[in-house]
Amino acid sequence: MTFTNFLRLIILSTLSSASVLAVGVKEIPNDIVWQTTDPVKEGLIASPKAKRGGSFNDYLRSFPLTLRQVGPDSNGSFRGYMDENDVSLLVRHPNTNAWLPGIATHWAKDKNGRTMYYRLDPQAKWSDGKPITADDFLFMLELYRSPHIVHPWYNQYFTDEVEAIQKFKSKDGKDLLAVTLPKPKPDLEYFTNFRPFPKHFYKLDKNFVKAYNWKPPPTSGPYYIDKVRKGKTITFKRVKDWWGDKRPWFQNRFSFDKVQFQVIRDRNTAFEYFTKQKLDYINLNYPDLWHERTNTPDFLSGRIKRLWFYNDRPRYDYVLTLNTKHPIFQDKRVREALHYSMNVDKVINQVLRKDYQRLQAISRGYGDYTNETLKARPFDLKKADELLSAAGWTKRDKNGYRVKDGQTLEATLTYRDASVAKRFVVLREEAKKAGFNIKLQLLDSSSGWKYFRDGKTEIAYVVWATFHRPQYWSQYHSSNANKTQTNNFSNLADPELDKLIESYRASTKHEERTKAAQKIQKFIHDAAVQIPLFEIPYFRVGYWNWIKFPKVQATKESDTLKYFGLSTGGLMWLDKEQKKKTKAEAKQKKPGQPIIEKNETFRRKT
Amino acid sequence: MSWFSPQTKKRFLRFRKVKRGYWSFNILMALIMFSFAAELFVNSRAIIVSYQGKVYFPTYGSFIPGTTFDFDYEYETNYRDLKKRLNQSNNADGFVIMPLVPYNPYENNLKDEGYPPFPPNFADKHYLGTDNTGRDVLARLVYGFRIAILFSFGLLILTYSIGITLGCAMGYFGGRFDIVFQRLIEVWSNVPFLYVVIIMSSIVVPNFTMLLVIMVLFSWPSMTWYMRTSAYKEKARDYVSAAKSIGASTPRILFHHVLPNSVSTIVTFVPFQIAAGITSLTALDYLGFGLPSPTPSWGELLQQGTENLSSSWIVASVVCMMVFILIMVTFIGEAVREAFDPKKHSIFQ
Repeated sequence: MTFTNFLRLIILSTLSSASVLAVGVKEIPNDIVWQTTDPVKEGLIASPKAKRGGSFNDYLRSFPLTLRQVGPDSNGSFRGYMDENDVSLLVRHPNTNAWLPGIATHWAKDKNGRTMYYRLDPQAKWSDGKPITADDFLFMLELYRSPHIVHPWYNQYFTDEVEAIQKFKSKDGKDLLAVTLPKPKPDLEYFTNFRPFPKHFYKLDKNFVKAYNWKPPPTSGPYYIDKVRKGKTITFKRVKDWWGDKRPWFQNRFSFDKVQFQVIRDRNTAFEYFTKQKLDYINLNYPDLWHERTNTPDFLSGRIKRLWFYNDRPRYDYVLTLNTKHPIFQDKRVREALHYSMNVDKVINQVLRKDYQRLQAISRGYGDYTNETLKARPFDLKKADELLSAAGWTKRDKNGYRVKDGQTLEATLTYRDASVAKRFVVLREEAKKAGFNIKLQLLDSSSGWKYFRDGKTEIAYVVWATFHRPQYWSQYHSSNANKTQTNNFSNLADPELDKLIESYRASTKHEERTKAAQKIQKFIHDAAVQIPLFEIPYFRVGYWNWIKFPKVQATKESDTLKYFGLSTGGLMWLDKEQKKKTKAEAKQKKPGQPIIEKNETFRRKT
Repeated sequence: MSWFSPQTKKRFLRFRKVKRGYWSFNILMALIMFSFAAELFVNSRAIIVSYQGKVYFPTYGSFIPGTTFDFDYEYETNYRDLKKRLNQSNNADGFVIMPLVPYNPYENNLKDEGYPPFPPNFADKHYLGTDNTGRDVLARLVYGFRIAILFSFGLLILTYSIGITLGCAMGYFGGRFDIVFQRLIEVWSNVPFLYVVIIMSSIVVPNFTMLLVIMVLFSWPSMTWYMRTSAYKEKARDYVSAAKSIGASTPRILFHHVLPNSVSTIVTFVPFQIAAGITSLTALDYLGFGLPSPTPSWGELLQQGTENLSSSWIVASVVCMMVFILIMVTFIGEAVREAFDPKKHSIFQ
C-alpha cells in the first residue's frame, strides 16, 4: 500500500463513519413515554345524524396544470384539495389545538429535543388497498430530496430541515418511525408531522415529472380522484371502507359519495350556476355578493340558506408596507404621519358596509403569540400635520401636496388585485388632505410579486399568508434587507430587531417565544412600517337547504365551507328527501322566510 | 387654402349641405370645446367666491386652504360646505357660485346612510348618480371623454403622419422600396396587438404617452395601404407626367399634386379613426390594461357598470354616451363620404 492510498483510505473511512454518525438515532430509547389523545375527550365535531351518500358540486376557477403534488406547476390551488385527502402522522384538533392520532396511533419525544417517534396504525391503507408502511414515509423523504421532481424548494427544505427518517419494529411487530431534525425545535410535532407517499405507485426517475402529470396517486384519506375530463371536470370518489371510518375522530364525516368540480372561470357565472342549483354552495365573503346578490326568491324564501360563521384563527396580515429606503419614508415621522392619514375606518364604514374590521397590528389571532396591546393608529390629520411639520414638510404646492426642498410628498402604492382598487381610491383622496400624493399602480399578480421581491416598491399592498406560528425572519431580518428576491419589502434592518428575531427562532420554550414574538410586533408597530388594514373574522357562504350541518357548522379554524380536510372538513351531508322537496318548491317559487344562520361560538370578544 | 385644390374646396361646401352630418360635426366640436373647459362646469372648486370683501377665482391656479375661509383645516377648501355655511348666514359674509356639477372626478362623496353606488339624485346634484366609490358619474364621463378625445386626436395625427408619408412614398416610388415595405408591414401587422399591450402593462404601468405610442405602433399600417393605392393611381395620371416634364421636383409633385388629389381618401377615414381611437381606449380600460386608476375613463365606468348591473345608471350613462358619440361620428363620416364622392364631381361629356 502506497502512502497516498493509505491517506485515501483514512479519508474515506472518516467520511463514511461521520455520515453514519450524523444521521438520525441508533435505536429507539427505552425511556421514552408513548402518548396518545382521545378525540372523544377533546370533543368531536361531527354529528351522529349524518347520512352517507349523494354528491357535492363545487367549481374551480381554472383547470389544474398538473395532478402531481410536487414539481413544476404543482403549486396551483387545486393541489390543496389533493393534499387534504392525504392523512399525516397526526391530525390537529381545530378547536383545542391538541394533536390527535392520524396514521400514527402513538407518539413520543426524544430527550434530545429533535427526534419524534411514531407508532403507525397497521390498519391504515392506501385507497388502492395496499397497506401504509414505514417505507412510504422513508420514500417521502427520498422523493422530496430527489432531483427528479424538479422542485428545488422541497429539495432544499428536506435536506436542510430534516436530518433523517428511520424505520424500526416494535416488539409486537408494529412499524415505528423516528423522525430527526438537525437541531432542536419548538413545536416538534408540527415539524415532524409528515404524510406518506405511496412507494408502490411512484417510480422515481428522470421521467417522473412527465409520467405523473395526469396520473392521480392513491390516497390515504377519505377521497381519491376518480375521473378527470381534461379542462372540464374532476371527480373525487369516496374510498369504500376507508380505514379511518373506524376512528372516532373521522366517524360521521366525509359523507358524500362523490365530490365533483367543474371549471367555471368567472365568479359571477359561478354565482348563476349556484342559483340554478348546479352548485351546492357559494362563497359570499364579498360584501357586494352578500348584500346585493341575495335578493332572489330562493334566498328570500330560505331555500338557499346563508351561513355567517365567526372563526378564531391566525389572521392574514392585510398591510401596506412602507419601504424605508424610499427617500420620503427614511424619516420615521413621515411613515407615522402616513399611518395617521389613512382613513381605513371610512373605507370600512362607507364602502365595505361595515363588514370588515380594522386590523390592529400584524400577527393577530396567534393566541399567546399575539400582542393584544397594540392598536392601529387612527385617522388623525392633526397628528399627521404635527409629525410632517416637525419633519420639515410645511409648504404645500398648488395641488395641495406638501413639498420640501423641491421634493413632493408622494409615493406609489402598488397592488396586484384590481378588485381592491376602490378601497385605495378612497384612501388616496383622504390622504390628500394630509398633503400626501399617493399614486396607484396596478400590476398583474406574478409580475407584481416579482416587483415586490425586488424591493423596488414604495408602498406595497400585501396580504401575507398565515402559518402555524408567526414568522419574522424573512420579512424583517436585516440579512434580507436591501437585497433582491427577499420578502423584506420594508428593508427594515435593525440590530435590536435582529436579536429579537434570532432569539425567537432559536428558543424552544413556549414562554420565551411568545414574549419575543410580542416584542417583535411592538418593535414593528413602533417602526411604523406596516399599515394594518382589514380583518375578516368570519367566513360567509350560501348553500342549498338540502345540505345539512351539525349544530356548530364549522370549527374555530375553518375559513370556508370545507368538504375535505381531516382536521376541519367533511362535516356536512346531503338530505335527499329535502333535495326533492326543495327542487319542487323552487319550481313553484313557493314563498317563505329568508334564513341567515349567524354562528358566534368562536367569535372573539373585542 | 391654396394647399387644397378648388375641387376640394367645393367638397367642403358640399359637406355643409349635408345637414345631418354638418350638425353632428358642430355638436361634436361643441362637446369637445366644452370638455376642454370642463373645469368651469364640472368641478369641486367654485367659479367665484366672494368672502369678507375679497373675491376669489379658484378654478384654475393654486388650491386655497380651508383656513382662508375660516375652516379648521389646511387642505383644500370644500366649496360645497362653504356655500352651505354662507347660505345659512344669509350670505352676510359673501357668496359662492358653484359649477353646474359641483364635483370633480376623483372625490368620493360617501354618506353615512347607505352605500355606494348611489342612484341619480338632483338634490345632491349627482345628475347621473355615483359609481361604486361615491364618485360622480357625470364628472367622470366628462373628464373621461376629454382624455379619450385627446387620445384619439393624438392617435389620428401620429398614425396619419406615418401612414401617409410611408404610403405615399411606397405608391409613388414603387419598385423595391414598395416591395420591401409591403412585406415588412405584412409581418408587423401579424404581431398580436392585445398581447403586446397585456405584456407591457404587466411590466410597467401604462401612462397616456406610452399607451399612445403602443397604439400608434400597431395602427399605422392600415393607413399606408390606402395611401399607397391612391398615390399609385395618381402617379399614372397625365398631370403628374406633365408636372414631371416641366421639371417639378419630387417633393413638389408629392405635396402639390398627388397629396391634394388623394385628400378624399384621407378625410373619409378621419371620423372613423376618431371613433376607433375612443373605442380602443375604452376597451383597454375596460379590460384593465389602460390608464391607471383613478384616471376617469369610460372603460373603467363600463367595467364597473357591468359588475354592478343592479346599479343601472352607471352602465346606462356610459353606454348612452358612447352610442351618442359614435352615432354622431358615423353621421359625420357619412356626410364626408357623400361630399367627397368622386362621382358627384366628374362630368363626362
